[in-house]
Amino acid sequence: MKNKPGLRKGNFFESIAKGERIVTETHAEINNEDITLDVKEFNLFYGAKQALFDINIKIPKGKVTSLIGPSGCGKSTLLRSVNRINDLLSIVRIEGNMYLNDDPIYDPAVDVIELRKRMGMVFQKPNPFPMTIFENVVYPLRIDGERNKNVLAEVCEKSLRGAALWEEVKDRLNDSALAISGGQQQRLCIARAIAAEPEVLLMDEPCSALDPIATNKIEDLIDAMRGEYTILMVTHNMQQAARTSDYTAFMYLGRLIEYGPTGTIFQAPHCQETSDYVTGRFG
Amino acid sequence: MKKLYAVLSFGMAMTVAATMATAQVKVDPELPEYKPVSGVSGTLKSVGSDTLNNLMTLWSEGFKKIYPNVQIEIEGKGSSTAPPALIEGTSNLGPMSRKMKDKEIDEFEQKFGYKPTSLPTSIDMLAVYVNKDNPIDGMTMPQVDAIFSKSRKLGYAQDITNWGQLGLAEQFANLPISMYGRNAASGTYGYFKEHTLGKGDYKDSVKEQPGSSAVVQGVASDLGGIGYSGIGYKTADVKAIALALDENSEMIPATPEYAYSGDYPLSRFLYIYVNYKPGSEIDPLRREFIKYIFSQQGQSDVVKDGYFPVPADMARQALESVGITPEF
Amino acid sequence: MQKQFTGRTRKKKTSLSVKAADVISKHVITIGGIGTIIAVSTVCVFLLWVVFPLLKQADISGTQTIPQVQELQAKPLHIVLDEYQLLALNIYKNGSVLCYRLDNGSIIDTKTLFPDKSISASSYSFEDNSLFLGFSDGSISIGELGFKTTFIDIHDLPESVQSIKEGDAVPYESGMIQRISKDQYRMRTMKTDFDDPFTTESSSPVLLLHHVNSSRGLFYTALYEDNTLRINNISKRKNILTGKVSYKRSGSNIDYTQRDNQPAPKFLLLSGLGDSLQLVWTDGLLLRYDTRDFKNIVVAEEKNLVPDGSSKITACRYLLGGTSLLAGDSSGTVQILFPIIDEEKSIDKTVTNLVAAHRFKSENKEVSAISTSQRSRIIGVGHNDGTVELFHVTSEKKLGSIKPSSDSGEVYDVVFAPKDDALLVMTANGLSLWKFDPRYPEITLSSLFTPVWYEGSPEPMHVWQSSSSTDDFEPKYGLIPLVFGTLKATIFSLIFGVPIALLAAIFTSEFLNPKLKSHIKPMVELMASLPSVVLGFLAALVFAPVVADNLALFLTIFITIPISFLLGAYLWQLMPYRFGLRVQKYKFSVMFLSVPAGFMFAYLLAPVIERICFADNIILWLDGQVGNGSGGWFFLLIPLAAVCCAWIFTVILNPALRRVSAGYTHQQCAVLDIAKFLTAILVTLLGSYLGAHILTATGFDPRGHIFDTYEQRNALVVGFIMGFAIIPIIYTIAEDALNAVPDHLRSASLAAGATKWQTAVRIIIPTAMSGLFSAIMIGLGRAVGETMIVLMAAGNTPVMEWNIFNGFRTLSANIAVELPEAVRNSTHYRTLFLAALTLFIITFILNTIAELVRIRFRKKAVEL
Repeated sequence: MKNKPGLRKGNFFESIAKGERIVTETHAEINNEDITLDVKEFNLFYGAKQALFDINIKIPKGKVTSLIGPSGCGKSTLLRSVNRINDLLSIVRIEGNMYLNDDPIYDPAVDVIELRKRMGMVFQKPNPFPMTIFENVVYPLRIDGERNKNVLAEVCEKSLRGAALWEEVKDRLNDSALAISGGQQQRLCIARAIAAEPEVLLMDEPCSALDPIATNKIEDLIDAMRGEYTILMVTHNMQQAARTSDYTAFMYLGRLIEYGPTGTIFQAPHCQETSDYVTGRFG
Repeated sequence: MKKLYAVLSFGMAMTVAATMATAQVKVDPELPEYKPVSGVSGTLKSVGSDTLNNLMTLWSEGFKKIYPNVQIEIEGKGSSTAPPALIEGTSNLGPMSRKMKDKEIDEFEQKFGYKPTSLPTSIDMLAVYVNKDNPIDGMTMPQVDAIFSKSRKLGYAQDITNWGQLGLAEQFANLPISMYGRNAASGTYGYFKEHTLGKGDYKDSVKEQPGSSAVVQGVASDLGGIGYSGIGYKTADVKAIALALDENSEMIPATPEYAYSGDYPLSRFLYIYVNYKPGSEIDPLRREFIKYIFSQQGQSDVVKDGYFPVPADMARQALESVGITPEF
Repeated sequence: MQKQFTGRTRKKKTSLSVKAADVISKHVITIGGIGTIIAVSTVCVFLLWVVFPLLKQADISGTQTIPQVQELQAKPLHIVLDEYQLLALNIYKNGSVLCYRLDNGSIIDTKTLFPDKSISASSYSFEDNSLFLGFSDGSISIGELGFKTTFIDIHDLPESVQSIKEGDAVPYESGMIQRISKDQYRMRTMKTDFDDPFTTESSSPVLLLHHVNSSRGLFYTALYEDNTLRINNISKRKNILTGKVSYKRSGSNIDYTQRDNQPAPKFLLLSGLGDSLQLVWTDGLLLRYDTRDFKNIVVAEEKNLVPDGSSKITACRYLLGGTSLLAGDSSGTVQILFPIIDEEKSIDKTVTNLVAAHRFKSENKEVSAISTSQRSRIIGVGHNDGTVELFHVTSEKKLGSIKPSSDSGEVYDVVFAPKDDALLVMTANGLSLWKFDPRYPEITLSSLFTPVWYEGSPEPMHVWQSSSSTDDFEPKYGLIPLVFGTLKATIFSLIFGVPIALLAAIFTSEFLNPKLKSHIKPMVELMASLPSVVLGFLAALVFAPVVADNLALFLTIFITIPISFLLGAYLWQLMPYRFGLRVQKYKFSVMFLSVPAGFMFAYLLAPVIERICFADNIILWLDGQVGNGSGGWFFLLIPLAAVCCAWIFTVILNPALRRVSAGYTHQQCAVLDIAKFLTAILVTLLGSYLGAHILTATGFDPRGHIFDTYEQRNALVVGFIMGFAIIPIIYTIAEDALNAVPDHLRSASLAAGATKWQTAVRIIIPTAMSGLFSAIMIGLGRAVGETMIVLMAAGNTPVMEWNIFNGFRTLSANIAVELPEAVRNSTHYRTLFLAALTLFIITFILNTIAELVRIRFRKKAVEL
């Protein structure tokens, strides 16, 4: 592919070797949106090794944003930094900050537990708890202290419907969650995440361990959730990103290269590296 | 009447009558000074009574000073460990604070064809100790029986469980009695059972201690404690009380002037058993050790350990029983 | 040609050394595994092999009928058997003594005692071979009837005797000579040595005579035809210096009148200590005199041994030890009676009553003779049809029976050889010698595991008192007190060890930051390397006296430390929100201060608590002498009340509070929380106070059960120190189990907004359940087998009480203490192995249950 007009070609690797700062190519459309999550000058270090470099990104409200990039580019790390799951690793060090609806996330005075209650997370491998389906879904309510059976049952049904799982499991709510198929388990995890009514839903490669039919269902689900929930999704699957997300961010080697509406990123990216990736040249 | 009296001598408790008027314990001057000889070497192994433990150590130290080449090993886990060791041949001296049972003698005889020989080496007054802060000075034997046993064979009317029942007041008025004793392997245990409990049964709550000094230690650290052990183990933290045969008899304290007068109810011999074939010649090592025990030095060691020496006549009989001709 | 990246082809053939290593390691591991199983099974098999003979009956075999010459056929007064089984002695009423060979019945020596007097009564004691003879002129003679040994030098013997084989015996002069070893010859001859008869207080014929040699001297008693009943005592003192002997004699007539219309009593018996005298009539009446004080001999008891009059008493004597009385009657029953203390009637001296503790029945065969062994509690009961049955009195085990021949006639006497290795049975028609191996008469399954009625106790009980230094001791092999002790030790040490270890493991795995974890985990594991001897030493000599002096303080600590932790947590919450979040990382160090704070509280509170609950002196309170039970109930109910209170609050109060405090600031919520906590404490205290009073009012007192008299060496001390021994084990395994829970579950839970505690309780612990359970079971296994700590710190008292303040005796400590002194292959030795086998089985059962439960837990976890 030849250089298209507007395609910035830098000597990317030379800049990195020199330790220069890579500026993100952010498309202008984002400025019209309401912002839920604002990441400012975010750097992350695993011990001495730096994994994220000067990340600046604004995640819009009610839209699906996907993070794409080759393996090891730092997208999962970025996602996990949002709800501070990375804190479990003691060698992680942060510079910069993130703001969830104007509340800082990285601050010594932040209550992490409360923060996490405002977000939901779905992991790559489905991880239902070894309890019944019902208990899995209402877990976020139970830990908040809700004991009213009616409230729990109502929330359970609503969440399972939202995750498009209700019809399949409504008769076996008391069966073990480990007895259902992989795709159903992942949808269960999604139901669990939305039962908490999160401000942001974080999804880390939610379909990578599932078969095409299940993947289809999940994608339909994400589609249905658009508008109501803010979704930040990491995915390896470019077609999925192209299908489901409104905005796409491309990351490479720990840096955010380009960020903009999905259509533009895939068809008319501003950066050579983005273009190379989405056309399948590498990754 | 001689038959009557010969019959009486069988199985009698040892009671000794003499007129040793002095309050100080002195070794019988007829006993000889020990003179070293040549040709003595080897290992002596002693397995048996804990009551004699310190005494055996004193004798072995004295003996080793004279014969530095000799090795002496001493193990004192209780009198009941002496017969099996003598029979198996793992020891050549068997100190015991009680006489061997018939069964033990039989086992020995079955293996060797002759009975074992016992040498009475010293005299012990088995003391009943209480904590040094305990005001009581003496008790009758039935009272001691009622404290330690559940069978009360000596006839005391009630079970005694706290110090107030013996007439003590203030902080002892209601203090429960805490009993310390030896375990069943001990000859002291058996002797006490026979003579104080009338062969009755100990209460289950008598704490079994592994050795004579452990009994004294237990009583020393426990205000309401009472225990029995050899007089040689007395320390400054305990008090040995006087004993009376019954309410009509005198209280006899455990002091030297009563050691030989035969009035203290719990006097006994401390024995050493050896494997000696009648008519044979005993080996030099044991011969010299036994001669040492029955010499001035050996019996002074007895006094040093807090026990009482044997008179010369007894020493002569003991030496003759193992084929040694006494030179005094 | 295959494309090559690296320029070389991979060697497809496995090299021989690799194959060989594979095969060798497979075999070595298999052998090792099988070897382990074999080793453990071998231990089990060995234990069984040592233990199994215990249950066998006695071996009675090899009979030998002894031809009886004319003179031997009359019924003798007494028969004495030589301990080397070469000779026997019969003494007859006419004063003749016959000594004869056991192998062919030929008479070797005879003597006639007192040819000019006629013997009217006699008493023989096997212990010292002493014989008392009473004559028709009221005089008595004392003597010795037995055998004596002389060793004869080989050179003094004729050739015919010198050449006999080792072990053989031949007649020589007036006895038998036996060759024991190459140059030792032992000669056995009859010994009869009698004093001249002495006159006594009566000159009518002596009807009944009995004597006993005890530690209080020689007692003898005589009943004369003129109804004089007299008891005498002779005690002696010997001066070992001068050889002079002095005697003290005393005696007294006893108030006795013959019964109307009844012949004279048939039996006169003295107890072993000389403290009671029994007269027994054939119609069953037993008259017992208390002879402790010769100046005041009174009738202690009158008892009818056959109340329904259906049979006559035909044989009566004392068992070994002189405490139990045996009475056989014409219906074939033998009763065994011994005195037990009547506590109510014992005012200035003990008063006892006879109680028939054991009975041996055999149908319709009149008992004609009872005989007892000289060194155990075996009895031989001879019947009028010639059968002899052998029993062990304490365990009630039937050892066997003998039937000499079809027309033997009634049994005159059964003589036990002194070493219990043979029986000489004399019947009306014959004399036979039986080889006898009693094996292990004291042991039956019921004597080991069910209550047994031992001499002198008021009822059947579980007792362990296995040996003593005298021969006539009744060994008591009850294993239940030891099993109880093992359970008690295990339970108390688990109560202390498990909560601490599990909570520590949860904390380390879920809460501690990884850097600190790498320091703390090895330190805890270092605790495991403390030798248990050292722990036992510390427990016995350092910890026990400290606890004894500060008991109230220690009990208070159990309450104040949890409270101070919680109070600390609530106080922390009072801090301004943001500030609190900033100093989060110092939370651990500050938490640590709660422990000394707890100690301080306890130190200040303890005297107060002691005064209120325990009447100012906890030792006396425990002994039951002061105060009432409400203090104890108060303490015991506090945990229960706390749980109830917590439950009520969670279900009722907390949701309400949550609604009320919806709009509060952080400070206000924290204050509310503290108020709630303090209220909870008050409610708990109030609840247990009320509960305590109610329970005391209805008559329940905790003293006597879980709280009782305080002993310095007790289960509290041992439990605490054993906790030290098992905490590292449980901690390590539990922590590993918790760590093994996959991280993705933790992440999911935390991502859902759960706190670490909620994650731990709801997700991690249920998932790791099988591992936690394993950890507890391994700790339990260690606690069951722990020997040294128990040995040194628990007092080794075989009591069966749950009292936390007294000691116990475990199977393991018992084996450690008693095995060195047990004679090899004796009953005691084998019973100790049985104790080991019991311990083995208990551990095996516990481990199997644990394994089954663990596998069930694991099945659930595997699905992850």
